[in-house]
Amino acid sequence: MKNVFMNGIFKENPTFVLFLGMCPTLAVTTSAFNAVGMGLSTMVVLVFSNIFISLLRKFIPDKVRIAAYVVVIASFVTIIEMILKAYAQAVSAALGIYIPLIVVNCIILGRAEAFASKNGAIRSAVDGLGMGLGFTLALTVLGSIREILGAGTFFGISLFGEAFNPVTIMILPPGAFLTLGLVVMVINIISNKKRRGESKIA
Amino acid sequence: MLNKETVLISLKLFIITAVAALCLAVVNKITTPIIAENNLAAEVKAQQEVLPDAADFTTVEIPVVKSDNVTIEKMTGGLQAENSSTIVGYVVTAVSNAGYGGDIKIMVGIDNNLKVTRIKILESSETAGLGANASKPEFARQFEGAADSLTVVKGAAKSGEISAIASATITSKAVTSCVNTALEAAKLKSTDSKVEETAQKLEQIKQETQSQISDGEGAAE
Amino acid sequence: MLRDLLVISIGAIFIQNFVLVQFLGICPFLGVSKKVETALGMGFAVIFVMACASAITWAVQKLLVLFGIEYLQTIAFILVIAVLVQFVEMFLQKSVPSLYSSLGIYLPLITTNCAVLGVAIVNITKFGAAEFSFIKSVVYGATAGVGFTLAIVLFAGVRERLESSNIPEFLKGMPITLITASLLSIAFMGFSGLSF
Repeated sequence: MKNVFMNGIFKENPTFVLFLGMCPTLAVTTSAFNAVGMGLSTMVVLVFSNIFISLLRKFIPDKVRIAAYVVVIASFVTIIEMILKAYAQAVSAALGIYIPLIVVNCIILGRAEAFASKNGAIRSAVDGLGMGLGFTLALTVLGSIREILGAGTFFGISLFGEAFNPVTIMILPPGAFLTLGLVVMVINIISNKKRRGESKIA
Repeated sequence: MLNKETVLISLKLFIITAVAALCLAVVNKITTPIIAENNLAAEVKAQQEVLPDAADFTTVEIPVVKSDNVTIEKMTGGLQAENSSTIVGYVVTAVSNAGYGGDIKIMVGIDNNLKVTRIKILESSETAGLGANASKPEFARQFEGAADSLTVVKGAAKSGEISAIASATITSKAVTSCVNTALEAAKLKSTDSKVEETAQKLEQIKQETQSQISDGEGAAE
Repeated sequence: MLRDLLVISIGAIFIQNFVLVQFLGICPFLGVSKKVETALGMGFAVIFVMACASAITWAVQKLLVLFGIEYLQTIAFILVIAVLVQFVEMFLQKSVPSLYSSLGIYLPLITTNCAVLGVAIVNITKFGAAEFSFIKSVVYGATAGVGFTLAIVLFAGVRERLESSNIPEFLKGMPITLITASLLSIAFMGFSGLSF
């Protein structure tokens, strides 16, 4: 169970390792607040859709399973959308069109197909939680880097005072690609070193 | 053609969809009034922010103002107190289509002396870090107290001028033209309402004299 | 009217490019851009599906509004798109087999392309109340697809060259791809602020 949970956060991190759900990763990471909002919304959808798809896995006919998964996922996304609009307007206004687009986030359909359709409800929930947290973590890292460099703030709090001239491009579209590219590069360097270390021991 | 399996599959898919739609209907029913309430509260709050003297707002007719790229979406009169009829100023919601990234929607508060009290940017898709700085107080506060048509200049501004945001002159111009149009609208409205007031008074005097005359006639009989 | 459509088209292709500015359709953009030829195939499939999806979701939205069930929008749209993609696949297979064999493998992938659902939702918010909303939606859908194609083909061209160049070990694969995309995105930023 612990492995299922940690898997999503590190070894199979949806963003940095599997490269799934790239659209929201790049689009909403202009600030740490947006990133956390998007990550948590996706996580809630992921956990619930995983649970329900797992419970329904005997009921859903194999031939139309993708259509059935999409209906379940789209329902939870719509529910989240309505709840955010009613109780967390700031989040809903900041994320805008990217909330309904959680439906086509490949992570969710991917986990439904690869994990929830083959495992029990509790294991699927844990998997959803792990993957969701991994996604949130990745988004927060990207959002923080971009916000600190691009706006000089962190969660809206000014860090460097007036004298700091923000690197505006970091919160513009090119900055999204650049930040993700550089973060993946750093991860590559670390994991390469680790691998080399392991092979030396062997 | 229709074999048993196909029917079963369709039926199952239909059940899933129906249950999903039902759940959504329930959640929608619960959240719709809250969302509507939130939107209304947010609108009143925004209006109060730009025209702090007003306690309540009433929608007024929008006067015809000529402008190339600005349209007035909504205009409300700020009331002194709830259910009062004394207007303490106007709130104009104007949209300019000449922004850098598309439309810019702005709320402008204007008091009875036809001076801008405050402006608030409601919606814009201006470049983050450049044009989006229009919502920062350094830029937005320049408009406070403005009464006449404003022009945008680069660098330090004199009176009647607005200092453009660095590297975002187009955004600055779009915002300023919204404010100018709003001021124009408020001017027209206040003269309109003065004309109306005078007309009402005239009508009243007319009626009073008429009744006096008829009273006089009655007495003469 | 024509001027409006021209403004919409240029906006969708260059200024608000779906991939490089709005980040819609990133998965196929990164996934199917290793060769110019396949990128072109994917691009044409997307243009076609996005134009059709814009037309059909326009009608679906009218129905939803008629019954007062707009909250089913996301579910309805995604199902319509899935069915549409399936139909397009079957139709092409039977009537234009040559085109089918060249697009074939990309078609199913389009269902999970967020650009298609994205364009349907943007159409509603952008032109929902406007005059001629149908024509505008279809034109926007098609030209947003053209913008996608332009971006992915240009990107594939650069990636083909990258294949044969000498890249530091730690930049190989995803990092250099993303940095290339970043440079392409900077180039497209030059279009923003273009107005008529």
